[in-house]
Amino acid sequence: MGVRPQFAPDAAQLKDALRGLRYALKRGCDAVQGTPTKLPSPASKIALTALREMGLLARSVDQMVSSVVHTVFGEVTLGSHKLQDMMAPGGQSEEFSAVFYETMKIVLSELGASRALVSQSAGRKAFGQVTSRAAPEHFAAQLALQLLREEPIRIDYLDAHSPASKETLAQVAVFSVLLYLLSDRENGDYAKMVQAATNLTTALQDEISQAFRTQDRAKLSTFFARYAAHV
Amino acid sequence: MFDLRQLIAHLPPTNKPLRIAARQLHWFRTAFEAHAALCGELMGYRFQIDELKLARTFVGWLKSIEQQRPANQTERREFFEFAPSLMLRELIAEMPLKTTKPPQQLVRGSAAEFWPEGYVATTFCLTVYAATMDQEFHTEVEIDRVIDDLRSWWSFRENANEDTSYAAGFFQRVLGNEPNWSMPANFNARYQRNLT
Repeated sequence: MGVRPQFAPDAAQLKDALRGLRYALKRGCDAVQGTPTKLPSPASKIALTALREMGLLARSVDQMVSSVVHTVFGEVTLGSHKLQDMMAPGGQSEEFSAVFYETMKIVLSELGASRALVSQSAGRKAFGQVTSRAAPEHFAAQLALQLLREEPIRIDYLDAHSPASKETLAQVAVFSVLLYLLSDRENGDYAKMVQAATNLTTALQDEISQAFRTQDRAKLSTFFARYAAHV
Repeated sequence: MFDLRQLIAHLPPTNKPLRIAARQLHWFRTAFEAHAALCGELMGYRFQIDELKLARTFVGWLKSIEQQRPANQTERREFFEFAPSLMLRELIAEMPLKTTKPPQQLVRGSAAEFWPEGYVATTFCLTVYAATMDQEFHTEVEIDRVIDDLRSWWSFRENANEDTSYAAGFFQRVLGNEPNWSMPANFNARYQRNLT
């Protein structure tokens, strides 16, 4: 027997909670890494054993979360999802939030922030708050600003070789995801297209950051319109 | 001289016209990587590509095209022939290539040995241009002998070091055109010629 809709768990929030747990465990392991060797002999031995157990637990949780998220909630793979289709009246915020999450993970990895925590429900909430159903580039501009307000990414560690700074990373990442979703995709190499959208955004990051800083929706819209065909 | 047909054959496939594909970063990047790898094999070098610099090159080229694109449709073909010289200017300005392995099988005193990165960048622009011209106008591109003249390469490198616009002029020379050396990267300042 299925769960009645009013009692059905909120998939995006549940996924976020599980991913949050995995993130917190990984962070915890990283934080205490190296500490045991600084302790005197009996204490260091106990600490090392505890740390090993923690590592095992973190790995188990990691596997469990990945398995639950993919098998119970269904897997979303990169594909032909287009913002133009998702923004149709009625708004497919669930679909958007899942695609947003999967695309964002690749973008963040390209930007040297693969360990960042991405909130799928923040993506869904932002999408639901955009009322404009005008041209796709206007919609994307409004959604980009709304997404940043919802703070969908938590970054604790940024690779030293990252092409973006910690301050501008969320802007570059959000713009990259939406640019990819607006782009013309006929072939099947979607990951390559996400990389291209990220590289394109990175090359334009000064102008894009300026538009985000001043909340210049018109300028953001122009950038989306100008570059979506060039991903 | 290099084998232009061989270089064209190594361009990645696309289901779009090349003039469109060349203005999409994912194809542009794949094509540049494939070209650098092939040149590396032929020249005995290994090239490393800086992805961010390559993306900046691409964006710079798009901006130049947008700024200079003529409103007049009759100038379309001439601009089409001019645009790759702007691509070379951006590649020389950003230079996304770096050699990581010393040459083993190069002809001594060749342009490829003299400036491997510049050589790869120039032949990339020529390759994409020749393939596009063939597809759009069924025209076979003729390369001037200047491509094998070491003194021209020496002058190209020296001058482009001072002003990257010189790269655009060099490219036009390679295609047998006379550039306006005072403003080689300016389409409106080009010398008019009668196209047949």
